[in-house]
Amino acid sequence: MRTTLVRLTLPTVIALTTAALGWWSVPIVGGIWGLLRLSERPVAVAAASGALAWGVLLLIMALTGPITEVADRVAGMFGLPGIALVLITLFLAAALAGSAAGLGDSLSAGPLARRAAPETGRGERP
Amino acid sequence: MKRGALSGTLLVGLVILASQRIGALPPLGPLLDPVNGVWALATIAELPEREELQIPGLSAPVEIVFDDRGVPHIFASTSADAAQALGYVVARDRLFQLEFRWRVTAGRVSELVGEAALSSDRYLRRLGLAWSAERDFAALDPASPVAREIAAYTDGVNAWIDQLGRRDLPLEYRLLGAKPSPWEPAYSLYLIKLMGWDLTFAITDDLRRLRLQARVGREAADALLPVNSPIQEPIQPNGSDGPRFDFRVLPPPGEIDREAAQIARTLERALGSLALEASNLPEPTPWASNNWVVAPERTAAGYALLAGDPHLGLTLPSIWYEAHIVVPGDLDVYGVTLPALPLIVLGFNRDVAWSMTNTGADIIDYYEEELDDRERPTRYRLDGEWRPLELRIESFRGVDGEELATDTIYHTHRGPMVSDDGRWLSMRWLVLEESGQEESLRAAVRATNVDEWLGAMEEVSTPAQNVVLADRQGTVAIRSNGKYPLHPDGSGLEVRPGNTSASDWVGFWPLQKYPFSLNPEQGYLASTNQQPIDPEVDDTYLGSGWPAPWRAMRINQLLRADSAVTPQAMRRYQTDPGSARADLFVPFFLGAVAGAIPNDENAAARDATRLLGEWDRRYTRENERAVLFEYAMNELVRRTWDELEVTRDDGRRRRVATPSTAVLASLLHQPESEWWDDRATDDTKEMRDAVLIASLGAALERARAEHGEPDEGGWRWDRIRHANIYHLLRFPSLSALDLPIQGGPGTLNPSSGSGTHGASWRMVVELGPEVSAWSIYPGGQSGNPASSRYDDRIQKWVEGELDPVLFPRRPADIDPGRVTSVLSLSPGR
Repeated sequence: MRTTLVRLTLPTVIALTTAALGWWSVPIVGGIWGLLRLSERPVAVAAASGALAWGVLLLIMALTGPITEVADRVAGMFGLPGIALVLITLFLAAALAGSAAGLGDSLSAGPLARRAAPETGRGERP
Repeated sequence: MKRGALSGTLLVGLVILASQRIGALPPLGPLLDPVNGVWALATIAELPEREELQIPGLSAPVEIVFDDRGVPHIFASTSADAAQALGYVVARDRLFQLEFRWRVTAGRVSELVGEAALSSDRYLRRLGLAWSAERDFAALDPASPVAREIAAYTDGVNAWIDQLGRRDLPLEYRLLGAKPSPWEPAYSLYLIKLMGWDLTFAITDDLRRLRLQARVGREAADALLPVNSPIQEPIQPNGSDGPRFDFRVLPPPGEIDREAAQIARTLERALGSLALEASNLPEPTPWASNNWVVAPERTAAGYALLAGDPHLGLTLPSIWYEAHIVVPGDLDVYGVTLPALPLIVLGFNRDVAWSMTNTGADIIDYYEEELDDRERPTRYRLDGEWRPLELRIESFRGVDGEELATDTIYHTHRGPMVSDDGRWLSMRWLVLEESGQEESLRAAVRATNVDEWLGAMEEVSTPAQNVVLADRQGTVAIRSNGKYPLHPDGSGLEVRPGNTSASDWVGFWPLQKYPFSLNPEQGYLASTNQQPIDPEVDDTYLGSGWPAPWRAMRINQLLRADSAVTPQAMRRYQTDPGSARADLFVPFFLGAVAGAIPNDENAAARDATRLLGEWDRRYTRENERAVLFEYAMNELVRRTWDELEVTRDDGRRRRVATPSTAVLASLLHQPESEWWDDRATDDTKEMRDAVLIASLGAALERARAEHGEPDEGGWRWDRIRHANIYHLLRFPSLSALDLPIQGGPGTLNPSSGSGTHGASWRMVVELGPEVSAWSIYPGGQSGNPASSRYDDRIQKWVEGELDPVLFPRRPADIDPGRVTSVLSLSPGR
């Protein structure tokens, strides 16, 4: 139960901050997740959470309006099918969150860890 | 560490991609944000069921009820409140269109899209549309009702812009990475100038005439672009029970005129690429508005009937926005407005209905000016004295406000000048002078009968329109409404010397001379852009190069044959597939082949004759013979007017201009004219029938090559001609393309080659004890492509169907089942 809750925390935070602040909150939240090293494989978790968060937001939008029409019209401008816009949207969230988490994780394991390690020993992977 | 560098690099790349425009690709972050990006367009696609808002500037609450066609019925206490509410709902539905069109008029599109628009911006600034609109606006009395309504409309548009949330931003702004600019009151007048440009500038004959003169001499040019149409079917009835054919002998092609060629080059520069294209349009032209009225004695119900379908360039969103405005005791008007105007342009009130077609009068003249310095002029000579030139400095800016270019535009008292090779031409164009349209229309929409309507519109200057009118008393009328210059020598065909005031216009037509008819004996009146008055009735110069009156002939034929017209018949006539042009030309094709001795050379033409003989001369969608006739006409035009072709720089041959099909019809009666001779065959002198036979044979070969055998389905008209309605930014996925419509060149619902022109609005009104009306336009009320109201009317428009409109006196009169949304506006701070 606790694991599930923990796993849902990141997508929930990404979804809420996206709604409140905008797209740029995704790499910030992903970066913090990586820095704090709250999970194993933070890159994969953050990427999946980003895609899940934006996927859920798209589902909510679909309940309130014709997002397939939006997808077809906008993707059509670039000569793509509507589904491509959905996939690109999810990929963008995943890539932003995942790459930021990767950077955060590396910083946490590298320069930040070296600075913190002599005193606390934090920063080493268990 | 290596993984961290990789992640960092990837992140930087993604953030750049998400936050910066890369080429044509907009920043992906804000675009794809699922809450506030393009996806949000889905959440604002439909109107909220009920909404209450406060907006500053209102004097009292306004109730706006949207019916199930998305039409707002605005119930206000004052006309200014109604104008403000209209501005608000139009901005809510069409914000990008509002901005795009004023920017086009002002030559400021490059501020939105960058340098790509600089050339068209410079061209439009040189014309001075916005400059003249600003001058008109400055001349308006701020306390006048029209000025107050323009100000209120501005407040309405800006109220919407001010409260615009991130979700509400139209798609086009998101794609361009732009934000809406505040609306200015003068922009309402910009639109009138833009319409004036659209309806009068490009159709000027001066360039076509000069090009023809350069090619075949003055006498032939005058015959190819006659001042009077060879077929007379005027809008002011001439007492004739059918068309009057006034076929004249065409003089043979003359010598090349080099002086005319030089002036034509300067004029080409003045007119710009858009007008250049227009001057070389195929004939019949795609501009093809129609309107007609039927008096009560010729209708089934005994009430006057009116129909109108102005043809314009088709766009999504549509050029029109449908609305109903009610101000108890003052105004109750229904129809279409141009987004930007605080009034209804075409429509009806409780007593009168009106519709317009373009008159096409000659309201532009060019003058060759004498200047003190051809490179850097400061003065021009007039009647022996040097006068100072007026200077206008125009600065062009890009997306980030950077200066892209600066132009100096010189004006004489006539208007702006343009130069080429040291030759300077000034232009007097009535559109750049005060229009009077807004004040007059404001009064006209309040008229209670035809007479009042006509009285209200007496002062309108441009764009001149043929207005048909009908009222509940059963009065029907038509008038070509606008100012018409009186040229010094009675003709507007010349580029005149600018150094004498004797070249200037000597006045304007008095109102009594305007083409006009009231309750004619024939019981109906129609206009289709044809020459308004038969020159045998009045030969005062009004213009030249009139389009062939094929549509007028057809609608008059239909109305003559129907003594009990119904609204359904009026609707049917708007897309009638019959063709007066085909009725005239087909017998000549058939006769030419019938009169020829059969041989191998005319075998294809004989096959074609059999197929053409099967044609009912109707352009229905399933018709499989119309294509053969059209290809034969293309061939006939090409082969007949080969003398008008020149070799362009790219090596291709092009006609300098194409005479009207009415002139070609005239030539059919001169079977031995030199014009029939094919210049490519030195040893033979072709005559009419040889050209007709060759054209028909070539048409059959082309049709077979392009569409297969005649009865295999490939010749169906709906596979060949389509309507194409492009989005303002021409994205195909936001457009409605390849729409199969009924109608062909010269029919009442003509299809042009590109399919980008057509009926921009169709309306039928019955002036009974209660006014009933039906309407449609190709598009939808919303500018949001995700909305069901974006293009919901197109299918019906394609089918030629009209919707019955709701015309309630008060909100409670609307059937609740047909209400989709109610917006209550109240005064706020």
